[in-house]
Amino acid sequence: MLYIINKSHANSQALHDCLQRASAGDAVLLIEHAVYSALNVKQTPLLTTQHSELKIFALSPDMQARGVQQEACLEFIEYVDYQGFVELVENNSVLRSCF
Amino acid sequence: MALMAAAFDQRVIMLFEGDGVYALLNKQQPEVLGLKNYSPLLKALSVYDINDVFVEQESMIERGLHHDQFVIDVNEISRVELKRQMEAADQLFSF
Repeated sequence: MLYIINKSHANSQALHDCLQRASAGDAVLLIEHAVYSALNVKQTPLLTTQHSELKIFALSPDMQARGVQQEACLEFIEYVDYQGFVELVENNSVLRSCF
Repeated sequence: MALMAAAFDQRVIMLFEGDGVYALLNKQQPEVLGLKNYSPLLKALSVYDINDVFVEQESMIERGLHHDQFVIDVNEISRVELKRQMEAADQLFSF
């Protein structure tokens, strides 16, 4: 399953809720304001996924627009452009938008 | 809006709280999404005599942000103090 999150963890429960339900092999894609959650700060709920079987992706153009730099993000985050976004959608049979 | 009010000699205080504090982050490139970059406007605030820019400390801490990541110098104030600033205003506009 691919979870798509578009709000920051500080402003929405969506990311917390998604991480509680996601299981091995699932992917989480951070878009829009959710890219702030990719930042390497101790407050991000993504820290708990560090050694999990979850894959965490962030949409690069949305990061660039917001000044969220890859160097400042958690090292296990993977980055996708719009092409990668489409591929993620293609490769996951179930899509869950947590908006 | 703030610049317009300031241009009409109104005293303007800008307050940032919640996810709004992310608006202060440096190195933003909204042009990537075809959007306008407001960072230069923030830098121009002092030209418009807007020198009171406050950021809620709690919001920064919740998000792990530090003022050296911001595009302008800001005053960090507590949630209580921010509320006090709002209450002292004649008009309050939220964005």
